[in-house]
Amino acid sequence: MRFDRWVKSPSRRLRHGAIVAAGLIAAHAAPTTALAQQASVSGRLTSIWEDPLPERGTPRLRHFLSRHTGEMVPLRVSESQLRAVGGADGSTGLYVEVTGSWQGPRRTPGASAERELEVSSIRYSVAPAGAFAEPQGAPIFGSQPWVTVLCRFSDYPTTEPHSLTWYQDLLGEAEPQLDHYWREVSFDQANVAGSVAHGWYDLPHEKAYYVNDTTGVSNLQLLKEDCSAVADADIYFPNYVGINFQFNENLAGFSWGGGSSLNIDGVSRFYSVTWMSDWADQFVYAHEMGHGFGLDHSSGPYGQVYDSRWDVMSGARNFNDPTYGWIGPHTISFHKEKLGWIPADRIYDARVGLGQTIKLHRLADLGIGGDYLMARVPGSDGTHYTVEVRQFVGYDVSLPAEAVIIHHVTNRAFVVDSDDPADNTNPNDDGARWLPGETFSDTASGITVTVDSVAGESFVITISLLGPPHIVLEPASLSFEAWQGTDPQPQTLVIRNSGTEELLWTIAGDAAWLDFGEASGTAAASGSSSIPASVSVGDLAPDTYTATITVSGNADNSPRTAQVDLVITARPTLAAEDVADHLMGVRTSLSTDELEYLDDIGNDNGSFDVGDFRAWLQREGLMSRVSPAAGEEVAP
Amino acid sequence: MRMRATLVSLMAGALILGCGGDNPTDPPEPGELRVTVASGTPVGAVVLTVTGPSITSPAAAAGNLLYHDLSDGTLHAVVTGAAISGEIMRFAVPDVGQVAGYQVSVQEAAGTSNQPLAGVTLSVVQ
Repeated sequence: MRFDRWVKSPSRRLRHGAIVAAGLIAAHAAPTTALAQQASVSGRLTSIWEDPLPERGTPRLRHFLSRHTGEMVPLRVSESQLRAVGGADGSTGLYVEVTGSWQGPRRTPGASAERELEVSSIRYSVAPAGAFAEPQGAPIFGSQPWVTVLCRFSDYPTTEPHSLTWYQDLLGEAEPQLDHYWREVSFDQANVAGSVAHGWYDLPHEKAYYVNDTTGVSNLQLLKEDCSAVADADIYFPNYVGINFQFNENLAGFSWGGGSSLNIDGVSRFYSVTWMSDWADQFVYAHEMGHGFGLDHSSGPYGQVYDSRWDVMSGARNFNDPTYGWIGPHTISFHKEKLGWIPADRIYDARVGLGQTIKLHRLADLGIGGDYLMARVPGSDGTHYTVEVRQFVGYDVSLPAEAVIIHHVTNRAFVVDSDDPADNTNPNDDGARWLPGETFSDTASGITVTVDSVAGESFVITISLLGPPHIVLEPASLSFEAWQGTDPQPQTLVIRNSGTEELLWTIAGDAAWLDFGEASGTAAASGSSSIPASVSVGDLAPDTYTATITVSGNADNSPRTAQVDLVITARPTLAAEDVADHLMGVRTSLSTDELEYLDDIGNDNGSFDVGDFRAWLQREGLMSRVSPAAGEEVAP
Repeated sequence: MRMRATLVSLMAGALILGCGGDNPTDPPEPGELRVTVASGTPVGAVVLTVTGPSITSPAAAAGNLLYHDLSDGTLHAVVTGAAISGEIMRFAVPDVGQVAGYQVSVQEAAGTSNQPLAGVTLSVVQ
């Protein structure tokens, strides 16, 4: 059993991710056969994830401009250019105008040549009237019907990897079919009920017209256009949110998932779209449809994409079904939350503080106890961690282990693995499984997550998040009311330290009438200091006065201020006989303000009484005028 | 009509009629009755009411301050002082032998720190 495991610093992992991205971008920017034709094109930004078979190398995220005509314009665009319009993830579906120059495809064109627009600038644009609406995006709730269109290349007229019935059943509601799968993964909040399959249809061209097996280039535009066209007589596409284009041959080792526009059946609109090779099984369908719902990949932290067995959106081929092939597990909590499937009250957002002990229920089902389904822990660099529990149940039945799994979320989610990468780059083994007695630490961010115990379907974990002293003033302002010449009751200002280090504070006011019981002090982590704030009205005339209290210290938000309001009301002129009459009940001539005044300067118990009268006599100096002897007249 | 604390002058006739004690057949004996206070806690002020026939001339005991009203025939009074104890005030009546006919009640009281005070007992004595 390990104790006090330490993971690699997040910054190192971030750099690694950046290098991978930069390498991809550099490849895009390499010299090509330039057609050098300048162009300005408008449309909606679309992302498509290109997922190869394991032996076909590295996947990549491809960006397109989807036009109202249904055309997909491939873009060579950098991460920094995409960030200008919200980032690769946030920009999906935005209507933009892209300026650049037409270039030949990055890979040798061959028969599947397509131009790519090398982007020089990208900016927001206003969608013209008639432009198709932006994609639905998250959250994903309710029925999400897809249509699977089976298309055969003309040179493979009899090849059918599976029958129409198989593809129709794959969309069904029995385990492990896809409607059943998405219902379980979404906690029964989304499904693909109403999905259908059609085919097989014959494409007008041979495979080589669309796919270059040598270069690995497939013309997704042509595949989409021709496959939809040959099936159009049988399918009214606008009835569906997504389209699976299923082909009967290997598409150069890749399948794709994402979204695209399609102008068909008199409607130009955006669809979730996948392009499936012949080897697509339940796992591939779930994975690419996940892209269609807007999910990115997750992975281990080692520059791979399909190395995590904790997520269908990585390479989690954990269980093989004799009918449907590899079956996907659940997706991770970061993705479920992104699609809106984790109720807000089942998400624990860690705050600065020590010892935040919570119960995390396994991610595969809601359970009945209401325990949290995920925890989010913010890092100091703007990234965050997700913490989730995975157990052998449902589609998670064949996970590598039952454990707490932590992901570091930057632009996407990476499994936190404590192994030394020089020795082990497996994000599924012991180093990634956090078990009772083990603690994950990110020293740079002041984060520790300790797994305390297993409690049935949940794990008990304790999160601590260090932070500098942080001043919170309670209340945020003070308000005094006083009678002329009479000091009001002191009030208490609480200086609370919500940080995890000791706060050294000083307090000062900018008015002579304001005073504090102490000028400086300390407040322990998560502790507080209560400071009496008093007002000496002295000779202040009736009026409204304001002052500012300033609390300074070694806090990250120092100084903090609180406003003080002081309202001084003129003291009423009273006759002792009138006051006594009111007290005896023989004549009630005093006003509400006068009675309030008498109570305020008396015992201040909320009502006028004889104690208040006595106090007033004392204040007015009338108590000395007492009867010196029985029978002597007293005229106050 | 409300009366201020006044100096009570004893009437000569009252002295003449004062003999005979409480014998109902005796002639009335004008004089003064006293209000006394008892409490386990020092008393700073008390509001009281005295009922009975023909009350006149209320006066504070030495060291006390008295405000009173007799306008409706009932004696309403506020007695206060540094600390009031024992006899706190007196008033004149036509016949001190009728002391049992005078009832005193506490409306409210305060301690010497001006806080409301309970458990204060008043009595009318000759």
